[in-house]
Amino acid sequence: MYGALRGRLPANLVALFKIRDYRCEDRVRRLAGIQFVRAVNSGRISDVHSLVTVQIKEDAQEFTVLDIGTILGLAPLIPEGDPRWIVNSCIDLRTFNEVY
Amino acid sequence: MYSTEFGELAHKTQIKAGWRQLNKNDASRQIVQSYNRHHGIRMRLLNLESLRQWGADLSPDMVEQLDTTSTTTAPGIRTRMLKGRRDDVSNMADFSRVLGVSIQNICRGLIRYSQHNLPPERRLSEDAEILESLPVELLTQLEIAVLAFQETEIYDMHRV
Repeated sequence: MYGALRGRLPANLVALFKIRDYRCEDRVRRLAGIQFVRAVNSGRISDVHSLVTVQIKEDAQEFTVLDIGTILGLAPLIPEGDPRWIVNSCIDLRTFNEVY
Repeated sequence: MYSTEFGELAHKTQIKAGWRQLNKNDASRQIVQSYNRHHGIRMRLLNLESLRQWGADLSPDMVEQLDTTSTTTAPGIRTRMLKGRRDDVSNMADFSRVLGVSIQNICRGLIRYSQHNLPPERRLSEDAEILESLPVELLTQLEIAVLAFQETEIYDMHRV
């Protein structure tokens, strides 16, 4: 799934929030509101830079809710035109943050 | 395709961990012996755990030993933590105003999440009025412990 991204997909984080459901044992849900992106060319790596490109989905629902447990970490993305980013999977995040 | 990933990861536990633990007197031999001993014990524990799952009749002291000895390493730190609560948000109306997203959109997102991820008895109400009345806290940071590159026990903290 998502080609070279192997089932993982970056997303734009809109909000982190907790919601208390007093109807269900006062259960607290730890949630995130996100905006999905889609993997360009089904996640195939580019011939030019050998990396995957993602872009904001045109038909993305404005506010998709997920459990925070599904967030794996920060994704090193490099802007490439307005709604597109290159997923830099050849670098660890510590080095990426030093470079960018 | 050939990958060096496995070898790179393996040499941490097979060589580097041994080098750190030992007194470097005839280091090569010590590293090999130490790794063989650890590996042997770990294999034995995995076999016993497997036998127990198949219903084998193990002695009580062996079962007790298995319960106290873990064959998998779990992170010693909490892997996800929400931080930075905003004081200006306590309900859905505040939440909607701060994010600039309509309450209807938020409710739709919550209902979709609830339908796809929660068991029926724990689902959120689909009544917009009830959803809008639920207390909400908005947070500014999520800390996630992620295994560092090529490490097995060292974690990087991602602050999202």
